[in-house]
Amino acid sequence: MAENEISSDIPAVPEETEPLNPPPRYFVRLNPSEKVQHMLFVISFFMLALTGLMLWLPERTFHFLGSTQESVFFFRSLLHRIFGTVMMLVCAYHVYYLIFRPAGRRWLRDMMVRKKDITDFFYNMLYLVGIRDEPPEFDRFSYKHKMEYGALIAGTTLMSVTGLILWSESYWDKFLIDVSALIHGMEAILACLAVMVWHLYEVHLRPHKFPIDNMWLTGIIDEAEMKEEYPFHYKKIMSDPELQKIYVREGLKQDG
Amino acid sequence: MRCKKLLKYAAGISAFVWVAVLFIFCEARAADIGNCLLCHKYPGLSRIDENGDLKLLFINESVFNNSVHANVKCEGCHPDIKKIPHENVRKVDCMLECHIIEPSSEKKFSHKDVETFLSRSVHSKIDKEGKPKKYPEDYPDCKDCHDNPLYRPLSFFKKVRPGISEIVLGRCRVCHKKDEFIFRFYNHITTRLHAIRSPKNIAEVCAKCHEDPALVARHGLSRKAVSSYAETFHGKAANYLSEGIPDCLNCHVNIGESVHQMLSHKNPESITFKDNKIKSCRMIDCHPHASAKLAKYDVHPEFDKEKSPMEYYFTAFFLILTGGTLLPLAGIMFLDLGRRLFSRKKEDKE
Repeated sequence: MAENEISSDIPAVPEETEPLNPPPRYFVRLNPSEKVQHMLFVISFFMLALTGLMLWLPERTFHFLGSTQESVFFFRSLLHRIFGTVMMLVCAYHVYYLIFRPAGRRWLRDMMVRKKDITDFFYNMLYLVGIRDEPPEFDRFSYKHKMEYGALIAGTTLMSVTGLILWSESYWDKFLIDVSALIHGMEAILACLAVMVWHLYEVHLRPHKFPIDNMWLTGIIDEAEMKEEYPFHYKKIMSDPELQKIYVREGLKQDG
Repeated sequence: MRCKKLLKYAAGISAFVWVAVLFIFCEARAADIGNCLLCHKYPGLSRIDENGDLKLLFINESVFNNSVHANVKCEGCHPDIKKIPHENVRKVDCMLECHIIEPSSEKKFSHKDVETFLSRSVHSKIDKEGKPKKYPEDYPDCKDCHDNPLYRPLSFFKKVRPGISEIVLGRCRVCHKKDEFIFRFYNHITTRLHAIRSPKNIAEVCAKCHEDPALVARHGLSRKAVSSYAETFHGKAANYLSEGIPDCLNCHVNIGESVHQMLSHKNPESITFKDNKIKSCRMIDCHPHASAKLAKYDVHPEFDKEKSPMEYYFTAFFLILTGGTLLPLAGIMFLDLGRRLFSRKKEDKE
């Protein structure tokens, strides 16, 4: 019954006469702008985690540095602020991208939570525990992507606001500084663990992706992967020539 | 006969060598006029006193000669020693007048003023009415804070930071001829221009009392001062051995006054009084543009339910959020992994 409900939503793929040796088809998951945004975010996230979590390690860990320790921590603090600024600028550009660029608006539209996400979540749980034989057919962004994106927005906003308060500590009430330091530190731990536990597994460490999924570098995936991972989106693309112009690349595996 | 002669010669030469060595030894240490180091130079010189406590009587010569008291002769602090070998000596009274003449007043030097400062301080053993405070033994004596390695040769040693500038010494040598005087005078001045101890070291000294749970409870002190300092950005930097970060003394001593005159935070004249705290934050090297709000809240926050409920609930919320997020994610991750590996095996069999 449930499967029938889902399948009724899936657009029918028009039948085509396939050429004898069709060129391999690739599907765009991240366009060049999105790739750069993601890359800058990854670099700034990594550097912020590195320079921020140094403060969580026991202080004596760095005593071997001797008199250079003070310089190391000066540059730690400087780099943390530089990459914090980079991350905030990337986020600000992303907001501009979501509002003023057609691809951004498409991203925002596809990222909106829908009823299908809730049903997908339950069907996926049933599939994972072995009650259902097939996983749900995901659209461009699955419920996992949407949850992660939501967490990223909330987390980045929280980190940026508390980070700016800590950066301009002289102007604020000590209570606000204490609470900001607390939130900044704990949210950082949560974000790092979520990325390590969830994002790395989901994107790179799953058996069929291990050890790395190079989509974050190329921006594209092949047709087999598209059919397996995002069948609903695949069917939508294949049934709409306009979407094909946006998402389908034929020939060499490189993003145009 | 020959043997006896040889022995006489040997005894004569040996006696001459010993006398010469002792003479040279005495010359090298101007302050050790009584030749006390003849016995006290031996490591391990010690005894068990009538209370069963081990008294270490060894004086490390090199530490002594480089200490602030190197110019003070032994009898200056131990005036009750009149003969050698001596009997039990009285405890040193740091308020004694010593033989050094204080150049600005041309009077004998003494630490008596420190006693006056201490009597006004929160650390005084006597109260405003001149009566002894409750638990007077809990209040610090000189050696509780001034743990000079000279007195405690086995305690931790201060970080060695000579900080001597040859360029400046060159200027001194224009008028002053004796290098020993130049070095001593230079050290005397410069050690007072910079902190002689690292902030971490200062916090450790204060921790001896302020982190003692029994003492804190006896005096109704509201917090574990040093561990809560370690939780702040200042404390973190101090533990990273930063030397430019404020330590306990920077915030608890009125600006421009002696560290011995530390006042209670309830005293309106104290820098730690609620309306005055901002003055120490606003010091030129710290946060000169600090808003008055900066010092309005608890400077030493302790994240427990009673003292800082807001911080406590924020911490609890984030712990629950972290656990509540990561545990389901890890669960889904393992289910996904199991399903993929299981399905793959099944497909391989088919």
